[in-house]
Amino acid sequence: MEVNEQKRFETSASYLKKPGRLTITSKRLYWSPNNGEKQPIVNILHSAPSKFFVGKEKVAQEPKFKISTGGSDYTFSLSGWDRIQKIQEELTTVKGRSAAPSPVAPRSAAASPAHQRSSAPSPASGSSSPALRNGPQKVTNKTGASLRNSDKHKLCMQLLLRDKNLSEQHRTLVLKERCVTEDEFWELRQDLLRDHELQMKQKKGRSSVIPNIRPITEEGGETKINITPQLVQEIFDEYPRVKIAYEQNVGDNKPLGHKEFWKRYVQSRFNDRNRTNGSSVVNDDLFEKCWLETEEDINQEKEHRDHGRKRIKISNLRDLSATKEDHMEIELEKDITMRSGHGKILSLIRRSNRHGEKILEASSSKTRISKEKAKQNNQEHQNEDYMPYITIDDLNDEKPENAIRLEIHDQREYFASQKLEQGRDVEMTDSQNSPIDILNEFKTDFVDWKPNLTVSLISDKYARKATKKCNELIKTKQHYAREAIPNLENFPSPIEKEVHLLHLLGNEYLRHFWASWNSKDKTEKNKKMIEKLRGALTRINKIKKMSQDEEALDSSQSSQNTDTRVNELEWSKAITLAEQMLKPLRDAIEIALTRGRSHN
Amino acid sequence: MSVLKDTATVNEEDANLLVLIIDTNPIVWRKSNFSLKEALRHILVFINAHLALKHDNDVAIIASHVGVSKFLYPIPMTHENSDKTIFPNMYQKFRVIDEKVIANMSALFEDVDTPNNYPDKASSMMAGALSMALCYINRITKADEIGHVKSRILIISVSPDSPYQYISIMNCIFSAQKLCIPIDVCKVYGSDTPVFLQQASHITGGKYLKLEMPQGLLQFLMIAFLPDRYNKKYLCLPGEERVDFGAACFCHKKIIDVGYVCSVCLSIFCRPLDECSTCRTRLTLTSVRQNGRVI
Repeated sequence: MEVNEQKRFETSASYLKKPGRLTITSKRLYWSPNNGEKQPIVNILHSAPSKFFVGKEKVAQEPKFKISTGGSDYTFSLSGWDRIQKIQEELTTVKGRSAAPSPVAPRSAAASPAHQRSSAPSPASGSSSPALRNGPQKVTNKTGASLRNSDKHKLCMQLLLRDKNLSEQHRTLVLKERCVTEDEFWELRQDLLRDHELQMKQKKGRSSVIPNIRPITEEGGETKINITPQLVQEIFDEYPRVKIAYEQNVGDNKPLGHKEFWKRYVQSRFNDRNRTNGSSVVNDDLFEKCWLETEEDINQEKEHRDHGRKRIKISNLRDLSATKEDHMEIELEKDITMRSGHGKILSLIRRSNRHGEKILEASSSKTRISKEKAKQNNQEHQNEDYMPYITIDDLNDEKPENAIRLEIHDQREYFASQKLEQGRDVEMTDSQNSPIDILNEFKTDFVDWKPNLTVSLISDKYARKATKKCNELIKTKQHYAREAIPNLENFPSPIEKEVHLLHLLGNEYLRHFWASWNSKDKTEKNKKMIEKLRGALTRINKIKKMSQDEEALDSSQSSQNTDTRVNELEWSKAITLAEQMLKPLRDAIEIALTRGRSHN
Repeated sequence: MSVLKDTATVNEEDANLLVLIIDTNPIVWRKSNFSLKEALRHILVFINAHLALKHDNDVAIIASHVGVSKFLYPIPMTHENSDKTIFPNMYQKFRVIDEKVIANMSALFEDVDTPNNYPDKASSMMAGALSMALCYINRITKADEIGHVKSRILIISVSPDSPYQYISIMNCIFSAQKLCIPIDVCKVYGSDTPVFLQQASHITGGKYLKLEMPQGLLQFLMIAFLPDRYNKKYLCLPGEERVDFGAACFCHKKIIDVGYVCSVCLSIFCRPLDECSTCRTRLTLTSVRQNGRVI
């Protein structure tokens, strides 16, 4: 034990079927067996990166947890599930990790590798709120990454988890096919990492969702409800009356327990009123009172804002030119929502407004300052400010504009960007006739011109040609619209997989090739890429020879039953289509190879 | 109470307003082997056909000349009255319009000095004509209380696009797009790739057609541009689909595929600059520097 080490938690636990004692201090976690050995057998420092696994309460027979660090795992069995909870709390506090405390409520499953069930119902993978509000780090199955830069590694992992496409690419390229190494993969995707890092660093404010308890339907038809401390906090913020009720009724000497309180809450109408689904609820006095009081609160809040003055401020100015038309009411149904004083009806609008205002105030410190200022101002100037009503705009001096002058070099040139060839417009004048001559000619021509529209204007030949041309245009248009799109319904999956794979490989190689093209220290890599590109090209050429029978013989394809076999004609059609699909890739690879050859 | 008129949906009973913009740049017409007179005869027949389709169809004709654009029809009556004899064999409306167009066209060519003094004689005042067309359509739409009149614009163009009118033409195109007014373009003569007009027809939902044989003008007009907005939905009409959207960089005016855009004024450059040449903002390119290479 070091000098500054303090024992935080101690319990009996067994490791490798031996009974012993597990201790968590401020610096480490250690376990020593009961038979008196002084030296702890297991000693894990909190500063070492480690992962914490807990078995599911309902699935596992006995409460145990596992810590894996530095490549080795330690499994401890404990006497009760609440011990595990305690240990988790201790570990998270001590490790000083993210803000959300350990999540478990009595009935819910423990921290499983799934996404942290935070109070905000975030969508599944691809969630956009991965920042500080999340709980302990997600456990992954991907191993084998280098630990030389653990932060960067962490970023990569997170990025892979969030982006399905990226993880698909990563899996195929790095793990399965071993085309590029992990480092090379990430080297080209630095901007993704950078963006992700910036996103992680953003501090998220308070959740803007109205705290809502959502049941999760598990298998077997049961519904589970998670009540996390965060949710509890949000509910207390939103409905202070509930907080008061909680404080009054839950505690050491008080009647209700924590669990009981929340159980009643969930079943009460208060909760379900929020969800506007009041069919299966029980009337609960405690929460009815809370509801009524909340309503009163909201109704009175507005008045309290004016320092308890219940009168609305009436302006001293009268508009003498107002006529009846300025005060005509709209012939709609009378509005029953925004009436104060009626405690029983609180519209959703009012509630949402109040909630929104709270969120905004919490996030901006400016409103607080301006509110204080406004208070001061109010006290000083009780009189209304009449000046804006008296001053006439025309009598004031004109203020200079704040516009920034756009200093375009050459205005005509700026707008000439669309013009492809310069100088054409100047030379349009005919060399023979000067413009003035042409104009005069037209003038004389058009005087007293009366065209005869009764004779045939267009000869047969030209009319036919015109019609033919139009028909051709229509035909090409139809062709592109309808027939040029290939029918991909019965595209055989082995070919499709091969094409997809080749695209991935080819694109990745090309990217690496061009990235290392002109740089001096990457000539080795460049040459390697050339080799790989050649390999890819041969593989593309081999597609022609893919035949159905070979694929069927392949053991991994044996699971495909004979239903998916297509006839030979369709197979060859699909092969031609595949070749068309791969043509751009092949062209790009050939360009790269010729450039590579000429460069060397 | 203002009623928002629905300008987008078209019915069978709608009256159609066709606004025709004729490019009358004499210098360019002289260059083509198709005379303006001949073209005007084709166009007049086409206008008559449009008017004949429905009783309440209407037309407006604007001439886009060198440096100026003018209405050819309808113009309020001047004190010089035209021939008042009534021709019993001809539909009165046709006659009125034909006469007016011809008379105003000759009046247009009377004035020789204004076009002569205009510096850029190779192009016509397309921006002005488009603006006038849109204002006229706006007036008619506002005056029409039922929401009955649906309008479209047809441009018969020979001269190349003037780059100096780029911004104005683009503004007109976007207004037309907002008002759901399709702009069709019939390019009778012109060797340049017309960037603006092609984009105009593409954005507004019109058709762009380039004629190889101007002598077949009437036939092309009848096939491609006679059906009104309602009937177009049911017909497959000829028109060029591929539009060249290529951007040209502001410094060299060459077409680029990959470039750099100033975040303030959206001007395009082919290589990264320290200072944007149009709006003089200092630009920094962080991602380029991070890779260690500055192209």
